Amino acid sequence: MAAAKPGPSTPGAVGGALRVGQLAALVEGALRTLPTPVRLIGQVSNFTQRGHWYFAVKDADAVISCVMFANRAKGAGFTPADGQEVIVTGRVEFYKPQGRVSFYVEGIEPVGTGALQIAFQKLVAEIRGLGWMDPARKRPLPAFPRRIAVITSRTGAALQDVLATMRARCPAVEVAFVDVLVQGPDAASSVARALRWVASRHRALGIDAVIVTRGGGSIEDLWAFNERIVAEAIVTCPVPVAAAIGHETDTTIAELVADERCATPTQAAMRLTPDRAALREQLDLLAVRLRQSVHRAARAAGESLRSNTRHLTSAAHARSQAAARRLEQSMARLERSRPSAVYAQRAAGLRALTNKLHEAVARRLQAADPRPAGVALRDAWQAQAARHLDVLNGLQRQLGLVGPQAVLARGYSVTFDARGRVVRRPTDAPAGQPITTRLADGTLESIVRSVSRDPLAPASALPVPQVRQPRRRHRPTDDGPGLFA
Amino acid sequence: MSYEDAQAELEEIIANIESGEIGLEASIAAYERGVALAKHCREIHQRVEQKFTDLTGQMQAAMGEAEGGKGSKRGG
Repeated sequence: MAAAKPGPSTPGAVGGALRVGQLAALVEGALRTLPTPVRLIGQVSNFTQRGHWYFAVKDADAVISCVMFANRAKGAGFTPADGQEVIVTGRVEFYKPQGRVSFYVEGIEPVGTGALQIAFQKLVAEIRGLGWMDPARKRPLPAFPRRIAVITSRTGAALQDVLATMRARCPAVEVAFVDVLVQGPDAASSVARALRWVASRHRALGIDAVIVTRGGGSIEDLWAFNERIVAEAIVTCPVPVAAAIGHETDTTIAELVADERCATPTQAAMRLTPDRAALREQLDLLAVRLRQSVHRAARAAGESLRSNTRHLTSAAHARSQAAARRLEQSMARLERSRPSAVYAQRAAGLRALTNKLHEAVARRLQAADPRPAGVALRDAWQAQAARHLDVLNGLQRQLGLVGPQAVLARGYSVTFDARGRVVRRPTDAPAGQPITTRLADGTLESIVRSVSRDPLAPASALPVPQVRQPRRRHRPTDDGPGLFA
Repeated sequence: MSYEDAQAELEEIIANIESGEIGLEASIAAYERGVALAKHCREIHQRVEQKFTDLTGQMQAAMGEAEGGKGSKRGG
């Protein structure tokens, strides 16, 4: 017994006791015999996050402390919550300074529905990063699609809901149906393939929009619509896609990336099919506007025509007034230059010249004397007189063209009584009275032998046949010699 | 002509006539076109038969598949 008692110097034990370090080494050694890595299933508890994750995994019998370093935790794809069932993967070590056995977690995954939830969240984060959920990417739905592709299960209630709604709202919109698997392991590829095929043929098929739909179910039932290939097929589809998967409370990736997310198949059909009644109303309003617009245009054209006519009339009126004014002015000018007026002026000038001539002759005769100087003066006077006479003769010729001289030259004559008045009527020259008859080249002195009156002549005086009398100004008096001056 | 195109053209015609920038003769010609477009739209409204085409077979033939027999699972 005593020999077994360990001395203080022995490295083994004192009295059979292991030192702490020895035991710790033994524990470490024992733990290294565990399989690597260890997979542990249990519930999360006391989860804390301080850069690294610290938590425990427990079950009904025991608790194991866990630590997951920050660099590992980042790759987890989800954040564990207390009570969540997880499987952790890693190694178990004895932490000597604190005397604790710890599970160093290298990987963590949720168990059961939790796993799908986590996968969903991971995909949401991924497609958000790709910009697929960006509202700016989403395209507006056509107001009146010609044909809608409906991608769903032939036997599902969703198809019947879509067809009934579209028929009720607007039967004119055609339906192109593609049957797909909507649940099970092949569903995602079936839906994605149909989407891709419709996308590639949408022009030829005349498809303006797509509805991808499926009725309600468990999260596992709907899972195909959370797959990336479906999301990608929706995003790359060249025509807008409306998605309605499951019940209103369900959210799938397909709906998140679709151009229009709808709660139910019926709602998807409503969003994509125009309401016939609303369209009819809209069209009626347009028809009214069309009629009104053309009526307004016709009224405006009529008004403009009337206004133009008014302008035209007033312009024509103004123009005719101006023309009338110009005509009056021209007539006045014409009047001033009328031959009779011209001759009257010239006759007046002639008379003035005659008077000057007479005066000049008188003056010269008074001043004339037989001296030689007087001869030159006389010659000068004669020359001047000749010039005056030339002018006078010229003027007389002009005057004679219309004056009484020309009339006399044609054989007419004028008869004056003893007092020099023109004899116009038989009564002007009673029998026995001397009369003077003026001819073109001279005069005849006669005595009136008898007087007889033309029985056909009217009671009033006959017009004077022999001389056409100038009318207006400068009317000569009957007895004035000025007539023939 | 699609309903949308017809309606868009009709609205454009109305705007043109309302602007007064086109003459009366052109307005009347545009009006006649507008009436024809409205009639076209009305005929579309009045369709009662829903045209349904099943493209599944066409798709499967195009993609060289023989998936028709598999059937599809009923959803919800």
